[in-house]
Amino acid sequence: MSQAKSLADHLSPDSVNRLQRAAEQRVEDANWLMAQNRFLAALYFFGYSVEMVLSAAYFRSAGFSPNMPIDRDTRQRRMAKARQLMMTTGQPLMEGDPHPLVGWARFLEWQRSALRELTAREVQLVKEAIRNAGLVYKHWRPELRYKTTQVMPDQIQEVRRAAIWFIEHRDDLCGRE
Amino acid sequence: MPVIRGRSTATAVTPERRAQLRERLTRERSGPGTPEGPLIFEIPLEQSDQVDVIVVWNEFQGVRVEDRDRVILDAYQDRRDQIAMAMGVTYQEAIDQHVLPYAVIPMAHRGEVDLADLRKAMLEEGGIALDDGKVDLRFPTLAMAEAAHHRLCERLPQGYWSISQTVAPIP
Repeated sequence: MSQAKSLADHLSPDSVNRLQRAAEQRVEDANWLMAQNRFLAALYFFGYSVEMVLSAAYFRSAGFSPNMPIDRDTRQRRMAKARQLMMTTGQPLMEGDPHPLVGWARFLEWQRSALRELTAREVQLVKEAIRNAGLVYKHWRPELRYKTTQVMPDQIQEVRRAAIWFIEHRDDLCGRE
Repeated sequence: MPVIRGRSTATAVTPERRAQLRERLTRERSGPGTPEGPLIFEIPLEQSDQVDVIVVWNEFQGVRVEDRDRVILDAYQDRRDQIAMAMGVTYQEAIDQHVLPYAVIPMAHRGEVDLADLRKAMLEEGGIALDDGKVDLRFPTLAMAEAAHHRLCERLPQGYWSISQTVAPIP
């Protein structure tokens, strides 16, 4: 019998703080991988870091305190809500994709706008978040982990720049102290 | 080439219709549940006094999301500050979106339990009567499903109740 304790049995539920910390760690991991020319694995981690920053910002803006647990059912419910909402174009705010980076960014915009009228700077910030999420999603998909595709330097640089923008703006995106 | 335009199936409701939906929902909140009435879930958020409210109601068919939200929030006017999220869905939408992932189902064989008793018990726990005569008893959280499971085991132990979870696809 293995003496090692089960890691899976000791995972804490997500929270805004934990998601933000994990996003930072994944970016650090990705930077290290990039330095080793492991571009595909780096891109894979950058993408998840963006998803974590965006979902953390959404939950914080929706009133979750930094350490409040965000369980799987709650997350699923909020995503179901986002999928009900339509943009003015008639498209859903969040697509059916289980890791919808752009959908999270739009949902964040919707949530923040629902609370109060945003300042011009805040409008610009959430628009920039949607644009950067789109840039990452141009290259990133969760199924990259099964692939051996060669990632080009300009592709990984584009994703890295966007991922770092999210880390740098994570608190501003939340819209709360 | 032709221009193909999509059309939204949801339309804005009239103020009268909205008031009617709000009144029915308010009544359902305060009184005993009605068979065709809305199914209401108030889900407490941990470390908070807030709740997510989900209303499963086929009357929402064709009603815009913003109107559904407004109907729910108006019906909860007395607790509006405590509502973290209001969500109105039809039964089919709830299934499609995995909003009610935990089902409490009887595992009894035919003849082991009176089907009418089984059906009645499930409906009283919030089960939804389907067109084929079956009842679907579902919950948004495991805790709610476990509580219903416990009550049903006490009430009809020969139902051999079980909880099953529908998991959304994870790529």
